[in-house]
Amino acid sequence: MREYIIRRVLLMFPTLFGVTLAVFILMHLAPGDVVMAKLSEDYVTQEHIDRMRAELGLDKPLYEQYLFWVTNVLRGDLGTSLWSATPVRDELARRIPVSAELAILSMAVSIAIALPLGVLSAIRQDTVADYVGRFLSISALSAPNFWLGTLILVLPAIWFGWAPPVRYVPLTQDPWMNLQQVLPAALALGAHSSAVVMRMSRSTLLEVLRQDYVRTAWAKGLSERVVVVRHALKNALIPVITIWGSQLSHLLGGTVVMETIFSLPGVGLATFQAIERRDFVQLQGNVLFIAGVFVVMNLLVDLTYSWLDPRIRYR
Amino acid sequence: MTTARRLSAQEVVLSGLTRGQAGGVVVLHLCQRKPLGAFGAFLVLALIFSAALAPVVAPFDPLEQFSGKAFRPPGGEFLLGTDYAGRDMLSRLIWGARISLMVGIIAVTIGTGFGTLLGLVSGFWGGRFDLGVQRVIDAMQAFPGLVLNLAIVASLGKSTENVMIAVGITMIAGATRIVRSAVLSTRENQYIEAARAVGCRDSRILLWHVLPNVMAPILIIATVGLGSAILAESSLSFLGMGSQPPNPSWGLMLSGSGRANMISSPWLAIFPGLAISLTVMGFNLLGDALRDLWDPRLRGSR
Repeated sequence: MREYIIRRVLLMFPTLFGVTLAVFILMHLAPGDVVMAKLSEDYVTQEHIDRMRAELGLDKPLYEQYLFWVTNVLRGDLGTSLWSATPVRDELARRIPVSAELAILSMAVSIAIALPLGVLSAIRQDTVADYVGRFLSISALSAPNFWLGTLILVLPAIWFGWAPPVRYVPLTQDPWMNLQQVLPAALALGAHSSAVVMRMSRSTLLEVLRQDYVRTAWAKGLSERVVVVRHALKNALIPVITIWGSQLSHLLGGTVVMETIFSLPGVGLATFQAIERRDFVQLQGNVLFIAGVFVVMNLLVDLTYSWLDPRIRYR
Repeated sequence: MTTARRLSAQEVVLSGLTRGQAGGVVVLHLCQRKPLGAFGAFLVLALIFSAALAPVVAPFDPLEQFSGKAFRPPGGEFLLGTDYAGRDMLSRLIWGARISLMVGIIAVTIGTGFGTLLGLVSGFWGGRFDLGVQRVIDAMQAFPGLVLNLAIVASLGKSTENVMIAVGITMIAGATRIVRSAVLSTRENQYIEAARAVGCRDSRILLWHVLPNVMAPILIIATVGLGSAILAESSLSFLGMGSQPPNPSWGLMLSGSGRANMISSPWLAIFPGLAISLTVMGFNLLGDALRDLWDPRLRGSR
């Protein structure tokens, strides 16, 4: 196990290096550089442009710019936002809790809905409950998250005249107001993962329920609850957790969409705004941060599997 | 070792029929064995049909603004109602199929095209080249799909064409992975060794012996990829980063500015979303069925 962890952690570094390279290349593909974007509104002289280029180090060769940027990143300096002139890092730090709350809540919501539905679908296979559950999951798999988000905003407004509060309130200040805002977004974001988890838990549970030891448990005269929960579900959970972890990409990308729809001031909304404002420094920092989180989380998820299921380590 | 191909019951039945009848039997057979897959195929065909025949089947011009007829509810003259500018929703949805399908096809061509090329070469030759490709793929997969799409579009500029490029590039990594792993297992077959023994060049082996045997996974990722490319286009357009107005892109029709209108005219929120969902569902169901039929190894993976 220790060897496996060490190997996986070491493998992360070339990936992270590739990530910085990719982000750097992407941001320098843009036609016209940062300076032109920043100065585009005002009338400026060539001299002005040159001075600003020199300030930002854009007159140096690309590899030097990259090294300069990466060294700063390693020191924890992500640069200064072109739009707000504040450090990118501070802006990120302010917004991380919002996104983290949304992501955690939607993961929680997704498993809370999916697991009972999946179990019900499996133990009542080919009944109405099963069909309804499967229909719901196929629908949720296909519906785009931004549409679900829009519906969650629009339908309650039509039916009950209720809409989530517009101004964001931090969880620490007023949890109730905060939840009214974040929970609808988490529902819309979690729907897709929910469908995936439900399908997976249904199919693995069906498989496990056919195993000999489950028949033995029935034969011993155990109640259905004990057989399903204590004997079958426990063994069906590993693939379910695996697929739950694979939803990360969907989740992190989805925060951009949900935070934009529900105007939650998280990292996703900041990324969206940075593109709109052509604030390439902030965008670069945000994209790097999101990718970094993604890499580290993926590693943690993988390590969790191998801890749960030792067979994985020998692949 | 030559494996005699066993005739399936289907083929035995077909042998006594004319081609037209046989086609009917195949369709029937598919409907019975894979009803969901057949439903998916039906949805996909409906999409292709409306995209190809948009000028014929759409009742109105998708951009024509009927003055004084904004926000008409569904029914009557406008089957699915009109939007804030008095444009016919049904016509816009039908023309929107064209944008979706075009983006999907071009993005998938880019994605699976490069993916197949990279996967074939790196899987077949292995070695240092393979190692390099793997690290690049790792780096690309270190970004959540939508975030990579956004970053590419942000630097290339917002337009339908750039969305195709962005979505295509994002798909390369996954396609390469799948093709590469299929090549790795195909490479070990004896017929490859035999081909080498009779003096085939690498290019011939790759094209004539390896490629046909990895076609099934390629077609499956292309099918499912079409659905996800269409979804990606609509997400980007929804965020205002893709197709620009007045294009009748489905994602754009749902985008933020009209939300107040959606509360008073809910059909504006419902129909474009249904169009996207049904399209994605069609490709997913069809892809799942193809996976079950052609490639049991990939069953259950996504």
